[in-house]
Amino acid sequence: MKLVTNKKVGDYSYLFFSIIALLPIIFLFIEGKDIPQKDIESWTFVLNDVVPGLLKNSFQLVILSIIGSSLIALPLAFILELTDIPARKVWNVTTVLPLAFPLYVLAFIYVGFFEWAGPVLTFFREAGFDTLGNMKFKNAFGVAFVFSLGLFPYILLPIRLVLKKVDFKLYQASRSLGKSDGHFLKKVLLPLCMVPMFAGCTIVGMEVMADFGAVSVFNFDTFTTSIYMAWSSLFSLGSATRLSLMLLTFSLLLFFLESHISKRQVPLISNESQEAFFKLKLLPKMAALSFLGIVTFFSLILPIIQLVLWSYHAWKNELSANYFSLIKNTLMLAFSVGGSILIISLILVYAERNKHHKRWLPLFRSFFLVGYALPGNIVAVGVFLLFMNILGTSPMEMGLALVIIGLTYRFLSVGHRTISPTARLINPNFEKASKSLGKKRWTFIFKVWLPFLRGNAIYAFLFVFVEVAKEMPLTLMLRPIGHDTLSTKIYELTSEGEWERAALGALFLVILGMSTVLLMSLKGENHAEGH
Amino acid sequence: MKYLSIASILLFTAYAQAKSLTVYTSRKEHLVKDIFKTYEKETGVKINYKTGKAGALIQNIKAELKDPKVDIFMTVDAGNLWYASSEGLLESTKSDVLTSHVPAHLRDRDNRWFGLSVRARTTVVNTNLVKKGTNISYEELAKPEWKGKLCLRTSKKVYNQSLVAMLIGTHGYDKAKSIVKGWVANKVDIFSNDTNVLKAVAAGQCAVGIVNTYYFGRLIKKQPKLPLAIMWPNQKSYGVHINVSGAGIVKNSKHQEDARKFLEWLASDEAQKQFAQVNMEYPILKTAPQTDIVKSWGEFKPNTAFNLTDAGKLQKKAIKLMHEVGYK
Repeated sequence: MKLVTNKKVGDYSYLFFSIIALLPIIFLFIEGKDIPQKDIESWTFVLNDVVPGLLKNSFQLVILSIIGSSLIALPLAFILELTDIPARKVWNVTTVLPLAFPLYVLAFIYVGFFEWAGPVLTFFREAGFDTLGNMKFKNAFGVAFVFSLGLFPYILLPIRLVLKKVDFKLYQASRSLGKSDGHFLKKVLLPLCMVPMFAGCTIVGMEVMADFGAVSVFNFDTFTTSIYMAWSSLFSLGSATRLSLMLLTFSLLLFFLESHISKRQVPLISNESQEAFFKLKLLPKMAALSFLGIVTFFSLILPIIQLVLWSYHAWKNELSANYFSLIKNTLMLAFSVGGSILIISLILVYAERNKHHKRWLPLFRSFFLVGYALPGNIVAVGVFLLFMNILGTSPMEMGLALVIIGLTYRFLSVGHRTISPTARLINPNFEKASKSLGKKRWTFIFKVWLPFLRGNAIYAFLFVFVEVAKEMPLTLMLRPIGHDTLSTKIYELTSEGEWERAALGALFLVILGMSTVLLMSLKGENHAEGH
Repeated sequence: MKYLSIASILLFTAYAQAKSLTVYTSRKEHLVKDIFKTYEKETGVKINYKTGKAGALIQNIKAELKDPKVDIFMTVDAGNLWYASSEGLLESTKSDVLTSHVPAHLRDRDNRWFGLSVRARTTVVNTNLVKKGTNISYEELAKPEWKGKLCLRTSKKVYNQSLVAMLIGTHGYDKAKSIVKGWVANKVDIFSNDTNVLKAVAAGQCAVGIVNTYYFGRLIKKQPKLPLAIMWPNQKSYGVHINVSGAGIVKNSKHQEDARKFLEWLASDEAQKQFAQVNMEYPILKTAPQTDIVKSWGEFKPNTAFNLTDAGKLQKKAIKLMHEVGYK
């Protein structure tokens, strides 16, 4: 009897959380629902003239970015997880570090490189290659190039987590049946990678659709730039929320597609530490190393060199700015939000266990995603309106709590998604066994459940930490007076085109992100070795 | 003794609280910080401020309207100021100082906002590609002889929306449309900011670009040898399009009196000098001195016939127009 009650309580608390997750958006749409007479003209214009182009642009961009990041991530995952590639520990780190770059920083760096007046095309023209020297970079392919470089780790990491758990015996079995390595790759490993790859692609797709900064640098119109245009230039919050609703619909479609596919997860888990499946010969080894080298060069080394050069030029002017307090504020925000998301995600994932047969689950899970799928400034308005209605006064009086809640709401799904797939691999019988042995529920949670999820929890915290440090529009709007962060400082300078001066802040941000990534990946590895 | 000191501290805090103003501004921190400090030093009134994007700040003010935490809204571009006032967020301010210091075309007709510095949206040319003394105007740039020679900033920037709004106000919708259509036909590329427009002009990707004066000032200060020069447009007609950065007092502000004093101070000789200097803009006050760099650009005829309030009113039309002719 007690068991039933517990289950129900779990269900109710889950419903409670997911409905809370919907509130800001509900308030946003209440606010935007009635389009005032004076806005009707704006909305008609947006709907008839702007939206068709946006659909084409967004679709094109999402597809190209997903293809681009998968083309980088899939081979990398195989090389790093299944072969005896030299210096794997170094590559493990360099392939995660690109996450530390805000996309708008990468975008600016690459537009700077590949613009007509930039060094690369100038070089080509001077060398006499006029076709190359007049190449256009500011188009869908250029944006997708930047997104792929900045977002591929989101696909790489989940694939690696699955490949790590593939049983070596499967391979031996395949060999003993006389099947070739290629056959094993095609028939076993690739299908196995499809689920995590699709999960990663969904994240990439949403990041792409919710990005504002990078597409602005390219002057490439997407939903976010038009939402911003409707809001701040046409002054029509109604049109902006309607556009947001469309954007949200597409993100939810992606999400449901993904949760439909990930149901077909085949557990082939082994907890044994594994050796390399494939020993590479010289030529493939060279090819693999050059691939790793090229990816690392473009996603990491080149951008860092550019930031360092810019910072060097702007160093003296910018030093007076109070970077110490900016760093402190950034860290504080990232830690609080990272921590609160980790705790909430674990509670949610725990409540979700054994419920994967339930039909309502994907629907309610999708509510947590809402904050992530929309551009930050729209989410900020929603959170703002919610608390304004609850408190009956300006939510700014909540101080830091407001921005922490806002960011937690925005990135909750990042934490949740990172932990949830692995949690599904825990066999429900473990819990039953633990109970039948008379162990308390807490014993099971702390001795079995949490340790199993530790690797994912670390990744979840890391992802959120880096996302929060990079986040700009929501922080900018909801932060209390005086609580500037590195990203708001970068915004200040970049919106005026002062990239050299912004570089110092960006560099700090990237270093901050990278040290977190380094720390976490070291921890992650110690943990793996400890088993 | 102990109690006395506590009491005096309390008194002091109460005093300090009474004498403070809060400013929401879309101006960048490094452009306003020092001038706020100067005011604090001179008057003891503490200026708290929060920076952000104009749209978000306006949303904040709207939400707080019944019980505002903010006294002054300060932003760039008349379009933003117009919107804030048209939404009823700004208080009409009676001040002889402000009305005498700020020329009529640079402030709201009902005195809800006042321009505090002026920037001109001028044409800048590559001196190797455009001869000195060439007749240049916004209208001229639409003609076929400029084909493949024009660089523009994105139409999403409010500066260009105001410029096109001015063209609509001056010529009517259809004529303005044919002008902007001509620009699009002549353009080589569109950039996300003015600095990149200037760099493209300097590199010879195009011969002319339309930018705000201070962006030119900043770039040329860093790289004086670039083959760039300001060529004031429309000097034989209505004059170069200008815009302002400005401010107004927030409706229901609890410190109207102090806020008005602060605005008056910002429009005064001394503050004007600092305010304009820090961003290489033009002071609103004729008597305030210009910096040497700004002076070196020479005298020009500004467009005084166009009241900037109309830039806000016509902004939606401008956006529609630019979309229709494919100006991205």
